[in-house]
Amino acid sequence: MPRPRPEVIDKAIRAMKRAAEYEYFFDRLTSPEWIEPLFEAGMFAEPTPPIPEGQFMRFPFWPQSRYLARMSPLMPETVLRVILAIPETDNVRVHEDFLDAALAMPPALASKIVPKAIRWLESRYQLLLPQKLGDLIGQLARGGEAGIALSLARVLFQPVAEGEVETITVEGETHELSREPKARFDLHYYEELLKKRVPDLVAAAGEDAVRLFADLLEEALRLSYRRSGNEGLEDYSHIWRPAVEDHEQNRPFTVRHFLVSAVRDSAQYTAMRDANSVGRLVETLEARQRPIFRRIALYLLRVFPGSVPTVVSARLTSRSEFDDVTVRHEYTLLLGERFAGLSQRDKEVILSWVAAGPDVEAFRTGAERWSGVRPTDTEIEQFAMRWRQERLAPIQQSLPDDWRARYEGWTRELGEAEHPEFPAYSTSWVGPNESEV
Amino acid sequence: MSPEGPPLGDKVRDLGTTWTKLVGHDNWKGKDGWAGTIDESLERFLKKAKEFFDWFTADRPTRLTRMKGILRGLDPSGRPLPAPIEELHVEEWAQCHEYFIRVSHHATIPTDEDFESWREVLERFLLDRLYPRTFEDLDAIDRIVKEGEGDASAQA
Repeated sequence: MPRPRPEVIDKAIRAMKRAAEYEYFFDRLTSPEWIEPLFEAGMFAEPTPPIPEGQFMRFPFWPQSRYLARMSPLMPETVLRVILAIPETDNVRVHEDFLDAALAMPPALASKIVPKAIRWLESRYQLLLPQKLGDLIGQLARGGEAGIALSLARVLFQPVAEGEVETITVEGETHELSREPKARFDLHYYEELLKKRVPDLVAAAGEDAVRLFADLLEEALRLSYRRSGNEGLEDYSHIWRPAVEDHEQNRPFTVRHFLVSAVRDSAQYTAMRDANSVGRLVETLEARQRPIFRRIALYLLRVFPGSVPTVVSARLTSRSEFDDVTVRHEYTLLLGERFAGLSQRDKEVILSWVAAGPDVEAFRTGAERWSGVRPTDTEIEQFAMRWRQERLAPIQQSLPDDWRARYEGWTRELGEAEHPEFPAYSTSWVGPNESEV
Repeated sequence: MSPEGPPLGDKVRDLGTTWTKLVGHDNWKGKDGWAGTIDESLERFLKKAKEFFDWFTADRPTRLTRMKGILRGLDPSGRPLPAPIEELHVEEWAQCHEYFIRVSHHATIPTDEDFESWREVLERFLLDRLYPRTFEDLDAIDRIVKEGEGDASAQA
């Protein structure tokens, strides 16, 4: 390769007397031919370290890494070789330049930087590192490097534990409060990067991308609770994520919340690309024990009902799904949309459960326990009527005549059922202070 | 009277190298000192020696480190230069320093011409840092870049 003569390199080194000249020199270089001779002269041996300033840390630019980033499109193999030979540094700006260089390389070369990039994520200081790593994931995924893109995404989006799980004691019983796992970087960017990268990763890795996000969600749920006994069981997602679809009831926004959306979207994109995958996706999701995965599976069945109709009817006629408060929202929406298409026999099964009514004994003991007063027969009757009305509300348009008459009778007595698809619905009101009205 | 042989600091640093090897020995148990069989006097001496070398390392930086510090202090940007450039400057400064020390201690009797050339080197060295000729210096860099990239394109 043609390159500057050794005496020119020597002259350049002698001409740089102060930082301003040294920075100017590297900024002025337009040819990648300088890289190797400057490397041999030791100019890439020591990245500028971060500079502590009081309680803060300053990250100076390193002219060499900026030069490498600029030259990467012109001579990517050489740039890669030099980057891999440069000693590790804590200077995030240098990491950013190396990622800019990687983004300008063919994906097969850029993938070699990923093991280093994964270490950089451990740094307390990250500046624009996550965004650039997100871009790198996209570039690798689109460039046929699906495996390494998934590995990087697994680390970038990994939830991390922070603080202890707190407990409260009520009436002598200790209850565990959930701990909110954190992202490695700002939550706003976490959400944005997930949204951007889910389609790339699905396009590159298909169902493996769904499995990745499901693993990450599972990890976030595991970190949320201290007791090992909780693993694989309850996730209380119907409380912190009332709806799998985007909904105003879903708040506040957290890592768990964004990962639910990532699992949902990755499954949905996969199903859109390959309708035959719906059954497998449902199976994969249901194989994970926590309710949130069953909820996402029910959501998927609602969005792609035609792919696996027998699975749809099997879930709707499952007594445990019908009764399970944790999957109520997704089950109710699926029932509302698919009841009319069920067989007569399946419809009768569901209506027979409504006819049988709720467990009034459980209501009686629960109400007595919480209020200390035994509910009256009228109250019990009203509870049962409300329960039946809420179960029928989503399918009222498809009810047989006798059932519709009953439903209308209950509605005249009780009023319209409000949000029957949610086990609990939050409302707030904002207005003037009463004293000022 | 001029001292003979290497300066005391160099001798202490030399001894310090041996000391570092000693404290790296399996029988050296960190703060507890030497774990092997020694009498009390030797143990006291080793503790004192440790105190001394700890102090020397922290309070007496090498001449090279001191020079680097001085040169960095002369650059108002406060940003360090790459090691090969910095070492070149330290070497240049060290040569000037040594020459003028030797002359001032009468270890060398210079000719006027010789002294004048070293004075010019020193003056240039200091002026480059204290009164930099920014535009000229950057023009010089531009010429070097052009020359180097001309090499590359000429060979291509």
